Amino acid sequence: MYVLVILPLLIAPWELIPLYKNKQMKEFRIYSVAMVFLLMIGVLLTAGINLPRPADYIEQIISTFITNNSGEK
Amino acid sequence: MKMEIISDKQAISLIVLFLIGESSIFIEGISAGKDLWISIILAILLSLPVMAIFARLNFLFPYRNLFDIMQICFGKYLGKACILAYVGFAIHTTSLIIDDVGFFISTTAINETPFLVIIILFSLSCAFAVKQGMEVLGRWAEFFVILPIIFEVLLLVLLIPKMNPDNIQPILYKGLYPVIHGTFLSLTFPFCYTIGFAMVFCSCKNRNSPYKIYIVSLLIGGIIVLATSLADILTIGPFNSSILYYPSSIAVSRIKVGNFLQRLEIVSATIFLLGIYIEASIYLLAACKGIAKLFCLADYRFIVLPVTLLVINLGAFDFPSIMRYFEWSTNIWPYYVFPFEVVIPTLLWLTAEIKSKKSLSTCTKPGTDI
Repeated sequence: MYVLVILPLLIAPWELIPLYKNKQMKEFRIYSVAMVFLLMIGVLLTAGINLPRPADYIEQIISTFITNNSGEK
Repeated sequence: MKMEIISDKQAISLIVLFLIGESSIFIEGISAGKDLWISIILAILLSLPVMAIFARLNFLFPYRNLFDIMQICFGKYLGKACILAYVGFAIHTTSLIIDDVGFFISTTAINETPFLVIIILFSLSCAFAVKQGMEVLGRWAEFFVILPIIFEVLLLVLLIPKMNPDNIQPILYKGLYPVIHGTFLSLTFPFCYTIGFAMVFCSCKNRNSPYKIYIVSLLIGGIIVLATSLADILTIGPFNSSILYYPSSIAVSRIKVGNFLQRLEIVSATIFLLGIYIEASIYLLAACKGIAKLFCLADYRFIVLPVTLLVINLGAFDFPSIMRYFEWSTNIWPYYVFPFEVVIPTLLWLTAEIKSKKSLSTCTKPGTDI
């Protein structure tokens, strides 16, 4: 799981510096926020914290409409 | 940003790979049991109008993708809300696809390799393709599409001695409900799954070619999906197909020609990887283009790697095990994707027709400039 922290740290400078040099400040801001968010998720996952899973929430929403126990993907 | 134009052949190759990729290891709509072939034929027929809707939208708004059309038809706020929903859908679907790859490879081939390593390598290669753009993906698909088709035909021919016609008889023994349910499942996956392609496809050389692209590719892909699913059912039977995670792969492993041609599941794994690479790349591209549209940015390329990392994170923790993954994708997934694949595009099409009629009538009013 350490790789989830290392990857954003490796990738971010490689892409952020050209954005800053080209004066693309809107892109720079969006990229920075996205990377900070990803870093936070990576740290939480590496620390072994159970994050809320989107699949569970989707299941709860769908289950209110439909009860189904058969089928195959 | 430069307009990315792909030829008709490239677009058809992309959709065919889209359709046949996952069907080389899964059987879709297996709840129909022995009547699976009826379900798939019905699903192909029912997905024809959906494809026609995608094509009509491309025809009405040339050089615009689905996100642009949403903003034009639904207005600024509702349009942005729809784009946000589709971006979430595309990101989640990409994570599901890479989970699929990770679970398949770590279950059948390299059991000791960590799941995370597989999905990271696969996602980063997809990110590389997406950074190159739609044209490169199109050329890649055009080059590789022939390989899965040849492999599928080869596998079908080699499976013929192992087939048992009793596995699909009697027809409609359990009534119509399983067939209808199987049709619904086949419709949501893989036929209407091409919404991912519709999200990014915006331009082709001829204005009428979207119709040709969608319909021809649906027919080619549909026939291949039908043939492989039928061959698998005939070979291992409906019960085995419903309890196995990867029934097509198991069916192919039964091929044995003399002592030299056996263990051919690697061929079906190759088809799967070629197809799913395109699927993951297209959905990733759709997510990036959606985000760029959401924030009114000219280029989507800078956001590709953050989205890829998000997809990797999501893939790493969304499903704790393969059992949970299959349970979720069997019971929940078809209902989750149905609004994105059929309902919203239909509403979009109706709005687009009304808008185009209105604009036509205002253009042809006397005294107005045409």
